[in-house]
Amino acid sequence: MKLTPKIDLDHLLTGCKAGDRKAQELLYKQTAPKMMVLCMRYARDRMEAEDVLQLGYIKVFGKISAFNGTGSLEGWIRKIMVNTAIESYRRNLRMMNIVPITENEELLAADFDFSKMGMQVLLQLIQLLPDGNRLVFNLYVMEGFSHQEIADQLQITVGASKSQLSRARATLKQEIIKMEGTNYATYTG
Amino acid sequence: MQHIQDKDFDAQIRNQFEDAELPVSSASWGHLEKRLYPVSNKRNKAWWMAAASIFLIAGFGLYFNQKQVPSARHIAVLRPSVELPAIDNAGVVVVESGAAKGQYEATELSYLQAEKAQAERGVHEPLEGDIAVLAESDYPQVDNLIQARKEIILSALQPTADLARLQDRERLAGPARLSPAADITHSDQVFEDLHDQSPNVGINNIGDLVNYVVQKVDKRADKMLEFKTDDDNSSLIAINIGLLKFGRKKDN
Repeated sequence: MKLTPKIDLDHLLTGCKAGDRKAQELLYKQTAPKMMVLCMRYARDRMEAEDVLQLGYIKVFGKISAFNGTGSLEGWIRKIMVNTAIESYRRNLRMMNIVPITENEELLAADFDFSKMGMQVLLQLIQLLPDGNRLVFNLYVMEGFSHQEIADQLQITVGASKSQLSRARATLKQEIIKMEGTNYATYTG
Repeated sequence: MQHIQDKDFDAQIRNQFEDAELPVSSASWGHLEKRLYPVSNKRNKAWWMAAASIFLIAGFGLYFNQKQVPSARHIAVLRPSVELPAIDNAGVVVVESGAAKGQYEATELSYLQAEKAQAERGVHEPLEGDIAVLAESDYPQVDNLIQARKEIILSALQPTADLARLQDRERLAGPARLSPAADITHSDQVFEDLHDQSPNVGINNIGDLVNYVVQKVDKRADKMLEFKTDDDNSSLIAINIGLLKFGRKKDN
């Protein structure tokens, strides 16, 4: 249940540009839940997602005076979040280790209730992907980047990008199949 | 699963996240705010520290300034030049230091000048009690000093609401019983009256002053108010106002 009333983002934008903390807080509370989903998709866990979220909003409020109104404010914030997630990936590249996908399998199978938890279970499956696979999958499927753009962003070859995406899809499909047949049927139509 | 096209699969995934939201923790904005305004928070802290310091300094200043009001009966304030020395009802004597400064002891000088001032006002009785001598540099504060002295006298006379009622009662009882002090209605008159007191009565503090006034207006054995004035800190030891009455035990 959301208690924060929705306020016109343009109105909040004016306040944020003027450095009004209350407007910043309202903008954060109004947009952060959606951005949290985005950050969770790019991160391995909630802690990392919250860190990306905070870093992203620091950039948002630092650059908001430069936002000229082209496109939606939410879309602009989303782009900043994606860029922050990519930066976080680059920064943490050396520390990353691949979590075996079977690690949480038992928990996921026990908690799986697609009618209510569909998005959250899918989110967990995406989080369990290897970091490179997850990043490319998000950029290609969720953000709509081309392989060329992804290759430029991540400084990899186009072939590597396609390969990462292909592996990500395969892993996700495999994990979804492991779920109960009825639930899988709902997933795939 | 194999028959599902990649585009369809991607679309299904996207649909799952369409307008999806996840709650953020209630403390997350607080954490973000701290990261957004770290300098500002330090500035706030510094501002409060500065405000507290100013408050403390001002408090101490006021306290010591109040303490600096001399308790002596008369105060001589030296100033470089003055044509007509004058004595204020609050006991402050403004005297000319002039060339005499450095030739006489300050107290002696102030006595001489104060008596001169009294003489010019037609009062020939010598001044009684001690005189506090303030430095020449204190002269600019003389108005504040006079005001402070008057406030002290007035605060000592707060119980005179009952005093005035008592005086009215005595006045109605008959003019023969009225003493000169019974007409006291103003602190300045009280202080002038102090100049006429007998030499063996010493008023060293507020308690003495109140005891003196009460003695003048209340002829009963159990006085309306009585202060113990053994030391500088006067303390109330007896009250006798109608139903409210307490006092020290009588010695047998």
